[in-house]
Amino acid sequence: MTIDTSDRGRAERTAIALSLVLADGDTVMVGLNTPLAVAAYFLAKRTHATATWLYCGSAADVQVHPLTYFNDEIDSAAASSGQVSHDFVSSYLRSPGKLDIEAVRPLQVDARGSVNASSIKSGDSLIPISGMASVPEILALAEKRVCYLPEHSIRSFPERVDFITAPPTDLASRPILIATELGLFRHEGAGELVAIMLWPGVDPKEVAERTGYPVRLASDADVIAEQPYLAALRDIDPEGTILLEVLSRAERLTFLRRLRALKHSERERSPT
Amino acid sequence: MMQAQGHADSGGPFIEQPPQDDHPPKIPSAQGVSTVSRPTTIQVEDLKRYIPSGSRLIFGGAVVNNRPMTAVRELLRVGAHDFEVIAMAGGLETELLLRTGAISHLVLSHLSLGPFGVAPSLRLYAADDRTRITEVSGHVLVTGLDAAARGLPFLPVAGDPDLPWIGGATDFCVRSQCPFTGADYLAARNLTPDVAVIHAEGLDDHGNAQLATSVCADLMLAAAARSTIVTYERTEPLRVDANHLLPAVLIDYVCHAPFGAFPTAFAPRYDLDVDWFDLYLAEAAGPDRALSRIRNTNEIEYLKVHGHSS
Repeated sequence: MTIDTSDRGRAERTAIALSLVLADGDTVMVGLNTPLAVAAYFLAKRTHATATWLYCGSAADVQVHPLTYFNDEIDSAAASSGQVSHDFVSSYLRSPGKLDIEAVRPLQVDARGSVNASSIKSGDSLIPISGMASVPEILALAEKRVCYLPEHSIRSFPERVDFITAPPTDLASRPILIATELGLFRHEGAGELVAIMLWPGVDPKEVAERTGYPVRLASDADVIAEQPYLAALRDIDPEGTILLEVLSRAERLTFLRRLRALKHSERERSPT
Repeated sequence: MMQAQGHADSGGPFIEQPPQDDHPPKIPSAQGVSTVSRPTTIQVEDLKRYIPSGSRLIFGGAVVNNRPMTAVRELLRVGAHDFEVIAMAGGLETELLLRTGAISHLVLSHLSLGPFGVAPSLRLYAADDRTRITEVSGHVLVTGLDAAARGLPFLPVAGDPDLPWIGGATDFCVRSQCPFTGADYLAARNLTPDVAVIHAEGLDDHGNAQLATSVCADLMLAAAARSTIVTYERTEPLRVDANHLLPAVLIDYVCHAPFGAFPTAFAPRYDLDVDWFDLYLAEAAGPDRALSRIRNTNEIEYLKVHGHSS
């Protein structure tokens, strides 16, 4: 079986793998600029984790019912468990014992489990990409440490990260779960990436070739079932908003124009 | 120079007040209740006087939502400079100020153009001497602002106190010990912006502001800053709903600025302007054409030619 290597295929596989981390009763926060994670959360609520508490920070910029970037009418609260202010999130929800999951998208995760969400080396310089946001605290405080990286590559999983945003603290007892286009992985800080679920058609050798340090297949490793997840995901995100996390800048602009035009035509069809 | 009229801490004499009769308060009062003396109404062209060069600034909204762009354009028009900008969830406002070299110190937690990707000026000027960049986590910044809003010198930060980047951010956080248990924790220093600029929907009769649908951290910014400026969309007084209330006591100046968040989104009133961003990004590596278009027009002309039409 061959896997869909298109941008949409990569984004969908990552979102589905990420959704599998959620369980009933989890308290989940939506972060900034994370349409793929938002889709994953709502996919989990639609399928296997219906009793998830999902809070949208009011700075979240995707609408989720259905998923779209353009917030003509913000109704995140209607589709989620509630909408709360950005500072409320930081001050109260991201505190010990309250938050189960807020998936972060780092730049790199290395062999020791250090996470880089800040800068990439360019020659002798460290070039900031977009800042670390609250990645250190989220990874320290959330009950489940969760990352996602839609592009599984040696650049994303190097032997050593270019900058340590969050150090590998207590990974043996509280590992990082990492969703990628190839599957779902666990990092226990032991110098290896452990594959716990892979997509059908993904060869463990391919994972090893695309990782800058050893990869081990867990003894109880499983295969991700495409359905019912893929159908549900496409129902949640008919416009493919999750593509915003995988497209190049030029492609994103074209995509946003298409989304904008779609919204305009919808408005014209049903004026309110 | 006269003393600031700030509400939180008026320690720094940094804002020159206009003559009293220049812009009299226009807030009506109920019968038998003393006249409310603030917020003070100012005009768009006056914004620059209340956001002086050298200030520590923070902007309301997040990334490409609800950014007070009219105020930023006024700063660009006069060549204001030497700002310290706190980019907690920074976006186009910080990108443009970086682009012009108006920021001497960027306190960076997050800066991007949202769906349009990384902010080009962050990469272009990261290695440039003209802007010092201190990267700090968003949690530390929020906690420092919280300390400022409460009038405290610092507050402890929940999380890991052994973060390797703390050594480069000791102006904002240091490792400390709990005075009761001796446990290690991170202390976030009081982070008081000189000026917070927030774009809102409108005002009620008392000068309370109705924040955008997405309130982001606007309330906290206003509570933390020495001086808070609110630009707003609607002229007619409205009834402010409790979930979006920014109390008048936290606001110093108000300024009517229709489409004041353009080209960022101000949902549901208007969305982000894809064409504007497309053009800006296409020109990002070349001469400052976007900035020339701003500088060569006043705000009304700019919005008429390049912005949303009303």
